Amino acid sequence: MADRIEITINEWRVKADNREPLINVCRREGIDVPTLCHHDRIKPYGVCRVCMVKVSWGRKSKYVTACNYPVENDDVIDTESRDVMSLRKMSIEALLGRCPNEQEIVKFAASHGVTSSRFPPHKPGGDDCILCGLCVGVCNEVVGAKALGFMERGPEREVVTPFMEFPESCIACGACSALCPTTKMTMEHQKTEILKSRHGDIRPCRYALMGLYPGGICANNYRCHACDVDQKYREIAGDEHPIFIARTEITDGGEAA
Amino acid sequence: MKLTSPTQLDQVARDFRASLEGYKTTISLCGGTNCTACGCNEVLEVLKTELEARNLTYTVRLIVTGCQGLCSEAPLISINPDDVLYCNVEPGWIKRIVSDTVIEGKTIPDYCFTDPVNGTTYEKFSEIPFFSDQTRVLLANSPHIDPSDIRDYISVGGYRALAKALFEMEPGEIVDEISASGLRGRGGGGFPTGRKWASGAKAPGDHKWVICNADEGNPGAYMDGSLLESNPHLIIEGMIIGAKAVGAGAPGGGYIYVRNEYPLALSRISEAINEARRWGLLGNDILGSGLSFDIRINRGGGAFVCGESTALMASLEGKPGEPRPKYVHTVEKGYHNEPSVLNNVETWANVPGIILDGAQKYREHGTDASPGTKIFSLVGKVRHTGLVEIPMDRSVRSLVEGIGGGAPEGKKLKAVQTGGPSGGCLPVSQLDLQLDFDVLNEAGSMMGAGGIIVMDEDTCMVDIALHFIRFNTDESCGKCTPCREGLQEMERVLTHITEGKAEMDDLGHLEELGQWMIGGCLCALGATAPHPVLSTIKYFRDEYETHIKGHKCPGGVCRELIEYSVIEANCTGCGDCVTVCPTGAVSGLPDKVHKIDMLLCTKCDECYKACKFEAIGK
Repeated sequence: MADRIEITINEWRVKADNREPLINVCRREGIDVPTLCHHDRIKPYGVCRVCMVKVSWGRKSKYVTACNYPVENDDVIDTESRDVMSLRKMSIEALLGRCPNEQEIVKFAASHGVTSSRFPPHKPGGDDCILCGLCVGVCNEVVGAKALGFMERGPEREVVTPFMEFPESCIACGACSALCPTTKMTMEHQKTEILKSRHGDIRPCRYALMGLYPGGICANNYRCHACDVDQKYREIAGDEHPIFIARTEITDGGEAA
Repeated sequence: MKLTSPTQLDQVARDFRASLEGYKTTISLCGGTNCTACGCNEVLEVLKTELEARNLTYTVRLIVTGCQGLCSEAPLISINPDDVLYCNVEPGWIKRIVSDTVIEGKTIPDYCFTDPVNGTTYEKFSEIPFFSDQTRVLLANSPHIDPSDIRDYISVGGYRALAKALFEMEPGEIVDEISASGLRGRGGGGFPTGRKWASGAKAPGDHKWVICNADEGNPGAYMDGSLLESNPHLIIEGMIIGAKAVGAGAPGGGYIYVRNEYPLALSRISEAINEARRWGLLGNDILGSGLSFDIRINRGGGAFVCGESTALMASLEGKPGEPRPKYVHTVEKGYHNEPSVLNNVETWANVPGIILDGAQKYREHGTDASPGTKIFSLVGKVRHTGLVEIPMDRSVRSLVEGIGGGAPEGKKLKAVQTGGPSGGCLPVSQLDLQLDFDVLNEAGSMMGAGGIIVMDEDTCMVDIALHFIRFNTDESCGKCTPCREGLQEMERVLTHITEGKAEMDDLGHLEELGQWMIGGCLCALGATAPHPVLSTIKYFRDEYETHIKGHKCPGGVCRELIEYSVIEANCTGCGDCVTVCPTGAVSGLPDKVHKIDMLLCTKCDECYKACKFEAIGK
């Protein structure tokens, strides 16, 4: 049992476990800290910098990312002061500038009051990836397939499959596309068929992998697009979520063939 | 032979000194990277042949040392005990040097160092102001010892601090001594070394590591490389003492992370480690004390960000060199999640001196908050470039104008950049600041690793800021949003300013970007990268405004903003500019005032350089 400590968030005293990630405390207490690169099942990566908050100890203070900051006793945390908001908005503005045509990002930005960006896109039409690392994280840590990774550095950084080839280790679970906040990760019908023939129908489904479905192996043996977990997910995410669009394409194509 | 007790060290030193008694003269040829590039190997070959031909090999000791410091005058030869330094040595001079100086003991003034400011020739090495104004503690032995011979280092008192630490001090006492000395990390952050060691010693775990950061990537800075080249055993000795202090003996160990672009430093330090192992100074039971410790070398792959502690450790583990958040310090969880004490080369080099002479003696130099001496690498538009070691209470002015001799060719100084590509530019009005960690931070710059880049009046500050931002953009790992997107955006806006396409609002945008990056970046690379932009906006705002509002570049550097014109009063019609112009933009009859057609001009600057009468304006 971890030590219980007390911290202050926005002038509220709250209890927490020692060195527990700050974002867990905030979510438990109903304090909204937005993120774009965090998922409960994946080790915090801390790169989108949207979950920035301020921690103070007496006169000293520092900006930290809530997703991976381990809280300590008597931390005074501020999640909504002006300077925190301006850092957060600037990060959102930068990502919106990078991907101006990604509906999820546009929606996310608008909900935080960012509707236009001074950052021009680096590619004509904008990029389709905010480099949040969720797909890489889920593939390496949760699925264990290691079919995705980062390539290059700085402005050229991008998510690719090993050696940019058709990945041998991919099991077509779709976890990356389910987590991807943009349209970067999609599943192509033909390639999915190849992977399906390689691994068969019985294999872990993405919901099981991500902990959304408790059963372990998908009850429907990959024909899971209509299972109730999918239904539940549809309720949360809506029909417009890229994964359902991608799913429909796969299914339609599959049946036609 | 393996040394098994500290008394044997004295024996080695005595034996080695006795073996040198036969030599009347020692010729030390500088074999640093710069001198090698300037042809010291040819000089060495000629010198060897000449000494053999004259049968002097038994009375003259010829050694190749590491960097001797005055790099603008390479290659260098110093001759002792005559205390002579010859500069810009050419192979053709060797015959005369050997016959006059080595045999007859006469100094040749023509080959000595001549000050370009006042024309004084200095016949004695120790009288040259560049050296006599310095306080050389770490670099004291560099011009005199052969880095490939461990006995040379032992004979000048090397490994005595280790013997003292191993046999007379407890680990806690070593940490206390380092804390008392006030030594601060020389890699850039200036974190108190004693405090780092104390946390390292306290951190739980059997496997602990001491790591030396020799991934010196700042453009124009080379003090770490030079220390490794000229005195590698100093660093090894410091690391063994550190290992005893924090408990990093076997099964833990030591690593030196050297950048692969330093082939000479790499070969010297590898050789030194092997030699130290042969002599029982590394490996099992060092000097019979029971401490077992070994050092391995890891070559860096050329990423600037790997100088950052967490990225360096990721790279050591074989992962991509990307930083991680430092909410848990590397001294508690570093290399393979084990306690790791990481210090810079220069920090380790300070350790033996502090242990041997005590913290009080160390505090004699420098300020209370930043004690000791610091090596600066002085480069740019300055007369004497090279490595300068001075206490940290000296002013920027005394370094740049005193030791460096000011800007060459009668130009005026404009700014001094401290701290490498992530540091700030200080204007001439700020030159009286002390070279102290905290003072420089307050002025919007930083100490960094000690790179000092001097700029004269022909420099455009916007162009300089853009140059450093480009460097940082190239070196950013791209992991976090502010660093990746912010640097690209800064590069775009600055490029617009240099092309005259910007608006005044862009300055506010740049400042906002800077504050965002300082607050929001994951590691120190991103958080310090805006410094060149913010400091130039702070101190040279008028220059930005001239670019934006006036569409002019006061330094005459930004190509898009230059308009060449002929100053009619000065033009003699000599035709030199017509000859060099590649596009035929310059035209004119002989002895008549020439003209430049800006529609044809490609702004190659050739006419400006060719004109002898200052008749071309820009």
